[in-house]
Amino acid sequence: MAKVPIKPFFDSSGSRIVLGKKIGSGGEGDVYTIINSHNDVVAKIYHKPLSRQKQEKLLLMVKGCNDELKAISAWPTSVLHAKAGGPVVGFLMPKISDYEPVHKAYGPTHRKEVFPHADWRFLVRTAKNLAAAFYVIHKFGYVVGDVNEGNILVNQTACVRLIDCDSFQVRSGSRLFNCEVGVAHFTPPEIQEEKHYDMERTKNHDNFGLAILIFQLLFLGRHPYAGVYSGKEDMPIEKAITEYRFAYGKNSRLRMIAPPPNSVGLPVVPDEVAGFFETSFSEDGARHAGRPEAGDWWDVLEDLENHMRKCSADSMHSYYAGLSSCPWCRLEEHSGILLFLSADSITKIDIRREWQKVEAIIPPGQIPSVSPMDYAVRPMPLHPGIARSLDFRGIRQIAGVGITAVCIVMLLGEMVTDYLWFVPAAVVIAALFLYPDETVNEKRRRKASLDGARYLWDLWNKKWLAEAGDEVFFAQLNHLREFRQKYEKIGQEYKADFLSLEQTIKDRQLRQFLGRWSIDSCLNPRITAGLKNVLKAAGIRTAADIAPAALRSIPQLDNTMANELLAWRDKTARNFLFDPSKGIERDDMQALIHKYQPRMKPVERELKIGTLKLRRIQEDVVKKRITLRPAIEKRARELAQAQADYEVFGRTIEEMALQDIRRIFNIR
Amino acid sequence: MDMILPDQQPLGAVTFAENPEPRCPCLLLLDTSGSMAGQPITELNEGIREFYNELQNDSLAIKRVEVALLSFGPVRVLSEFNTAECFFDPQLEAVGDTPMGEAIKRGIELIRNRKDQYRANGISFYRPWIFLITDGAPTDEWQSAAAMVREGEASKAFAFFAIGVNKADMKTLKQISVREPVKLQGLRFREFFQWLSNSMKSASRSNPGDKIMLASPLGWSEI
Ligand SMILES: Nc1ncnc2c1ncn2[C@@H]1O[C@H](COP(=O)(O)OP(=O)(O)OP(=O)(O)O)[C@@H](O)[C@H]1O
Repeated sequence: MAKVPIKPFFDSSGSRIVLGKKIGSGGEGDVYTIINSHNDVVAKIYHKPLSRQKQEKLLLMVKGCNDELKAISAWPTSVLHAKAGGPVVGFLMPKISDYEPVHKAYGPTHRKEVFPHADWRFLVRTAKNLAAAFYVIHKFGYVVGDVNEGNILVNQTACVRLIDCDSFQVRSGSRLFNCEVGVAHFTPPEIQEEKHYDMERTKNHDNFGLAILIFQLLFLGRHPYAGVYSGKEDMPIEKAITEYRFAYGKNSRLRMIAPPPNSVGLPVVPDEVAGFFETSFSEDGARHAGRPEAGDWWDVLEDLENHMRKCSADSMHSYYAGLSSCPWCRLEEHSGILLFLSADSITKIDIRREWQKVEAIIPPGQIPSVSPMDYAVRPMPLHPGIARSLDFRGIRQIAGVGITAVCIVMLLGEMVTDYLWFVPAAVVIAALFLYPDETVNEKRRRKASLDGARYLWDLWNKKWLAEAGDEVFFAQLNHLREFRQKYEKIGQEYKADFLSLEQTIKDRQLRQFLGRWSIDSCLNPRITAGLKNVLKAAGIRTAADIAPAALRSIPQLDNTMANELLAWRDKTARNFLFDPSKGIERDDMQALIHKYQPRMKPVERELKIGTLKLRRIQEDVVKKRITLRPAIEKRARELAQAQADYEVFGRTIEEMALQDIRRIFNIR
Repeated sequence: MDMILPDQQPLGAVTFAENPEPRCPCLLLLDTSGSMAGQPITELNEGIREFYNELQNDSLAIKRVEVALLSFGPVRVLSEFNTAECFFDPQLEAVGDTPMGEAIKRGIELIRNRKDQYRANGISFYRPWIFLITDGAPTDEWQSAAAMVREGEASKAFAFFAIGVNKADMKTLKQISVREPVKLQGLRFREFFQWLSNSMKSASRSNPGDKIMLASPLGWSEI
């Protein structure tokens, strides 16, 4: 960081100029206030020595300076030298204070912070004033060249001024002093692809940048070439400019580009204004002097200003009177964006009405029960061969158990001495139990289909519970309740702030009222004329001056007298009537609204969208209960069937009885 | 559950309408492996805080520069792409290993998604920058990530920069990054982030197009 140069400079007339504070710094130089001078001049001192060319340019600009240029820009008023007669090292210019770069006016976020009172009328006025500024620059033969969002400043009354004038293009007879810089997003297609800005710049080039800025002001910060491109490749603004892809134009579809979501289209401006944009951003505009000029813009914007209307729902919504309804209400409603801070209230919804909408949505109720238990099914009959084999198996098992028992009895009774006798018996028992019969395959098959049925049931049941159940509905309802609480809390905080603001104003009015009651009008005989004089000498002249602390400092007053005085004051105060019409100032009120409205807006949006979502969920659940029902029932029936089929094998009588009891009493 | 939102608006559409400025995305891939513990991680945290601070003080950068933070060891998306208004203090802790490959892939995916959102919302954007900051060597498979970096650079989908700290494995970094990796001088994170915020500020207001104009990394790099 360069230190403040303390050595003095000399202006064109040789007067000493001493720099003060640094107030800005740029790529080429720093800007300083000036000590001991009018507060309306600043100096720009360059970082590096200037070329002869640049020095001449500045001298020419100073020579060309006039009141019109000074009114709309930081035009150089005098060059500065480090030593008298030396090279030019800087210049003086009018100081521009309380102005903000234009991007803070067209971008909604910054606009709401920096220009809280700005409505669309303000933006139209800014655009018109911008056109006026360009008109003046062009009138005197200069070209801005480096049009961009940082070199143009706007103040609270929508006045526009240009800075960085030393980069303007200057012509003097046959000599041309170039503007060597530019910003791509404001550079016309004709010179968009040039590597350097060393060509001669024309008014028509400026008029492209002017049209872009006017568009950005009127269309809430959108760049005319930033849209939704339907091609595969990236479409940066630079490229869109060279290919004339004006996203809002009548040919935009041919150019495969569409306006972004949540934007407004050309219909929000009158046809002439729309036509101007079309020309400025088309091939026609790129021809020699093809674009509308600053003066033309001024005319159509002036006309627009005379045809504006205020929205009946929101006094901060002003719009072109040629429209049938307020475009800002529509966009705010549909997008949930707060476009303009309201001057009227912190909320745009009626919470009671909104909540009625929520309550009108009937909960879907308990999920209908579907269970395999609900189905009384008969097991699929077994193939006769398998059934026989199954019966035979019973006989075999009984025989096996019988032989085993006989063997054990014989063993215990020591009827057999030679254990070898048991070998054939063991073989027979093993054969009776283990001999594979046809039932095994059938059992395996039924087990597999049972597993399959259970798997499918679990899957569908989960889906059924999730999609036909009411859990999601109540989760969303609770979410809405939370937001309603949030909404009410913000409302309460606002109310509290409002009341305390009102209280201070009430207090002020009361003081004024009491101040009109001189203590002479106190008719209490104990407060004698002499005492009144003492009080007056102590600064207690009216009822407003009576306060315990003030009275205590007067030795002549005893406690009872002090209390009498306080009572008199209170009695007088009872006659005070608060006048709300002389209440809170409009500015204070708006500041209060602006503090709370941005907090309220997202909550409002969440409530509105959330209500829609709740309805969607409710409808969805009801629908799912109908559409999913056959499928889930099918799986329940299939599982019940598979269970019954499988249970034919190895189901004991007790188990069968239990199953029946369960079914009858519907226990799971 | 895939419940369809009734309004069908892409995420972030509100923010994009309130702030339609072109975006300048910047992704930081931050190594939080155990070796970064102590001084390095403290300095890194401090640097990030100052980075946000710098961006917040610039009225254009605050609307245009979007920062996403991803730490690795383990891979975590700390903050999705957001303008600097939404300052996110990551308070990094150095604990894990160095899954650099996964981090790079995840980061590239973040960028791809964000670009889709820009496109759907008609928001123009500058070429995203990815900064990989590491003091070690990858502990996972990194070759496929390197291939993605090469491909992204070739198609100009993003610009990838690798910054090595302390004993970083510069040889591997060289194989990952198409651009020459840079070695951080000591723990000059603050100087690095100062430089980065300046570069982001100028990139967000000039005409980046294809060319990337970075100020020379003087004051923090070892070259
Ligand atoms: N007339 C003025 N009154 C008050 N402040 C000014 C004035 N002119 C310039 N400034 C401040 O100084 C800063 C730098 O000025 P300027 O843009 O003229 O410098 P520069 O070196 O040409 O910068 P750039 O890099 O934009 O070309 C501006 O951003 C602004 O804040």
